[in-house]
Amino acid sequence: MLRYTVKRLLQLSVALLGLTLLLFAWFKALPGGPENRLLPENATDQQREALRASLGLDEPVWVQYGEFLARIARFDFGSSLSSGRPVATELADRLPATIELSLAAMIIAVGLGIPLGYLAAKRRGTWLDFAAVSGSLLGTCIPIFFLAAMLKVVFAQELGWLPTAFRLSAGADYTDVTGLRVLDGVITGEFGVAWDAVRHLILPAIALSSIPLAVIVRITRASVLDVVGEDYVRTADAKGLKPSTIRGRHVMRNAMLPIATIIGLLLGSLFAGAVLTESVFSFGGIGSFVYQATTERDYPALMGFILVIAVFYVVINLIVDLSYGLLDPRVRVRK
Amino acid sequence: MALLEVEDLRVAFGPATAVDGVSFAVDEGKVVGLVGESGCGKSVTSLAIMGLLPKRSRGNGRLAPDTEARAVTVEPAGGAEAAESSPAVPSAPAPRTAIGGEGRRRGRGADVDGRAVFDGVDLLSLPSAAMRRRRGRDLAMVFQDPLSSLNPVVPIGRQITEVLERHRGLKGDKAVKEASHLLDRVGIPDPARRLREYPHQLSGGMRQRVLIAIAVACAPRLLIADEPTTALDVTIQAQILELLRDLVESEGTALLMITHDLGVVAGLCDEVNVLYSGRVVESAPVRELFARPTHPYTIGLLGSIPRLDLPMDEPLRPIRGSIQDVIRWRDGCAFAPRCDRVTEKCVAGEPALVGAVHAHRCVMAEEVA
Amino acid sequence: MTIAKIEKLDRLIEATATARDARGGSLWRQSIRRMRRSPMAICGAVLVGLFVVVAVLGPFIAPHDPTAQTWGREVFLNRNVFPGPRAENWFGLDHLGRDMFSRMIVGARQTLMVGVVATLIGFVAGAVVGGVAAAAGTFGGRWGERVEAVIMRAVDVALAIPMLLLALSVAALLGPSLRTVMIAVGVAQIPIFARLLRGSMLAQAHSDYVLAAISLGVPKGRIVVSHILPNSLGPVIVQATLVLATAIIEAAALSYLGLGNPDPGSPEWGTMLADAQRFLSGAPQLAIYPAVGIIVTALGFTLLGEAMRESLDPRLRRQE
Repeated sequence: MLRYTVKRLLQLSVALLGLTLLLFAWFKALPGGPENRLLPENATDQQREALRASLGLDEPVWVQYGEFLARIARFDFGSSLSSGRPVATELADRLPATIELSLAAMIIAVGLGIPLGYLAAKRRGTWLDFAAVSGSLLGTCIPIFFLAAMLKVVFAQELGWLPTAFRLSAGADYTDVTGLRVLDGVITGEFGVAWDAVRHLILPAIALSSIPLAVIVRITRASVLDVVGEDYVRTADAKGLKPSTIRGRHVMRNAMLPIATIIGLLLGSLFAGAVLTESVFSFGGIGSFVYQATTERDYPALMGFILVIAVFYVVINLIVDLSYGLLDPRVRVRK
Repeated sequence: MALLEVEDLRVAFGPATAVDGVSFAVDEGKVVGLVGESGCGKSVTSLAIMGLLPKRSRGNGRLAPDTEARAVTVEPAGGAEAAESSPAVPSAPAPRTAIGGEGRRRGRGADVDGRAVFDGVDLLSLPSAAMRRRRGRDLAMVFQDPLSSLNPVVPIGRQITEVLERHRGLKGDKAVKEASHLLDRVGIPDPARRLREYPHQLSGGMRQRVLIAIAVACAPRLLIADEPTTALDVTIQAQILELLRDLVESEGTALLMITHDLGVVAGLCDEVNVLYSGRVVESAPVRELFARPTHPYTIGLLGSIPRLDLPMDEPLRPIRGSIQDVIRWRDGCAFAPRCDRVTEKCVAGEPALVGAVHAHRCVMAEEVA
Repeated sequence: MTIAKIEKLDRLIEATATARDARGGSLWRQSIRRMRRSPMAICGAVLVGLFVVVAVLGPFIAPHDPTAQTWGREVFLNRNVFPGPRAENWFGLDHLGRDMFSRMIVGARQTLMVGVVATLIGFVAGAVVGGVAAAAGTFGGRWGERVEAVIMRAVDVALAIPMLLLALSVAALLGPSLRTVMIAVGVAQIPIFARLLRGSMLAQAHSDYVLAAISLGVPKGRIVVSHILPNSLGPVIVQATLVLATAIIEAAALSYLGLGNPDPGSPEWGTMLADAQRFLSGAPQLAIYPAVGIIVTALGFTLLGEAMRESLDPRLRRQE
């Protein structure tokens, strides 16, 4: 297991390094170098050179890359062009909101997707199976920002059941502990705040969960169908075990292997999907920030975002790979 | 009264009949063989007795809960098995349902008919919950492929103790101790360590021993072994057969041995039932069968085995054609298209099973003998 | 690192390879025959067919000029007055007083263009990258293997980046336009196609007929171009069908993020949907028409692609 972990870690750090290289190239290729934005239009070549030198742009490319890496290692992504604040601070402020939203969406997707996928497999060929499969096909085809906007119009604006935007109601008295409002509310005993936060979460989380839910339903169905036809499930049946034992220990424990992998992948893409959902609900997470950064061409902010997402993605992948090792002894234990 | 009495067992997957009226009995403490080519219905028969066939959906479109959504792959090795040509594979190269097969199987489950009386109770009409209480306790099964028949992500120990827990009420340390004792009994060295290992860490023979340990864990009165040695090396095969014989003799367990290997039959069985196209065509005590095979199919089977006591240049006499060349039993002898001695009488209606101790289903038998 | 994605691709390749080995004959003919019986494939084909017909005939059958603000005086934005469906304008008017029905019909072509061009970019570039990697790895000797390893590492890294993010970075480089959207979405597909084609080509490269061709002394370049490549395209084409659906949806998302077509003149569903967000509470129909168009089209391509994949993959087939 240790060997496996180390190997995975190494692979992931190589991948990350490759990513910084891509990012560096991307940053260099952006239209109009940074000096053009900092200098007046009538600047002399001398002024230009001086600025380039002070920014380190006259150094060889690999030195620049080294400095780029060093800055990243210090979480120094530069300052946002639109707000003027350091990008790292902006991101750190907004990260909890996105994490909370993504987790909520994932809880919905997993909590609903696995049972639904299981039922669809178990009642294969019935209307429930048909509904689950076609629903999940449809789910991947709905543009997420449209779904979010429609949910907002119908359930928040027309019916008024849920709030239209933000993470808490205006004027809510709130104590910050972790930044995850629901969790904070529970920790500090302010259950009113927690409930308020949950109400604000529901619609964006549902919108964001649509694609992961669809994917999880399908993968669970396929995986359960695969496993349920395996000989060892027949053996379990031949042992006369209770259906609940067969389901839990023999079917689901095996079916979870591909599901776990997919869940990890989806978590990574959720952060990307959050960009669209958050902007609809003014949720104030990284997503809203990036929406703004994109529309205003705030490159340092975009770069910081991509890097943060990439790190998250890589870390989640590591966790998934490791949990895969825990779930599957064939990976963990050598012969 | 025999321990298990199968009467007129019929199993159909939609329009394809896999088992077409099989009857035989297994006496207490006896070893009975069920012999035939793949596709003759022997595996389906054993699964039907165990109640492991996916039941046909009734009304609400659901499969019976105990089999859940199991895809029907009755005999993984046998491509010719009727059940394999499922409608799910509309593209399979012109699937010919092996027996009486004019159409494709529509339903996903099996229609099981007839009786399988075990200890005075008809297993086929038991409610699934009651059947589940008996499975693994009163009657147990050993499967063909030991690797795929063990759960890859659960330690060996747990796979044994769960039976002990379910049927003998053993918990915790007691169960572990008993499991280790069981492994010891099936000849696995260092059982305490093996209990913590996973199936992929064991050799093929070892895995089959584990499956046998699971099957005998609750001292069942009937053990069904479905080609338990087919997936193993020859040397391991002998060891496993030896182990089965030991267990059966010491415990007085009855054994129903499903095999296509007449060598296994000769070495292990007391009585033999030869199956062809879903029916018993000959049934006799083992010595009697080998000494005086009556049905042309049995003769053919014996003729296709290489023998040491015949001259080297004596050619083998394989049965021509394949099990797919059949006619329906109600029209005549299903073996007729492949039989060397076929006459018009053979295709003039259903042949009956005649004889008591040594029974056969051949209208030409008198002339053959 | 992205096990599932990679495994899925590998399985598709494997399935195609084995399907060919087992049956012989034309894989595509077999697969089409199979698909004719699948309701999924039929639904998909009908939807896609309809969409393509509309896209081709659009400008000729549209009742009105999609860009003319003919009824501009009847629309009052701040009072949410958008004359609804009526005999003249079947789908009503948009915020500038243009005929929605005509815009939808004419917009189909642009939407199809976006999807097809984006997919083609991903397909061609991915095929070049994957093809070069596979050819180098198979026939390039020791150096070729290194080239292949480097390319495939890079592809794996790119595969790990969420697609929208990749598209976003490209769009940031190029500035907002429909061309940007197509390139951005296309670039994001490159790693998928590259991996798929390479895997598929490697499977072919180890097959008997290629070994036979090598032993007969056929030049390596010719083996790759005239034997391996054509036989490796199966899974890539399946993927392309699925990518068409994603491309249309992603393009809409990029439009929503303001990276799409700044010219509101020539209609395109993604841009229309993004524009309509502003009037969502007052005139949801403006969003619903293009949204339904996108959803139905994406669904059509998805159904068709999934049906194709299923008809190729024996494991999936067993489940249906």
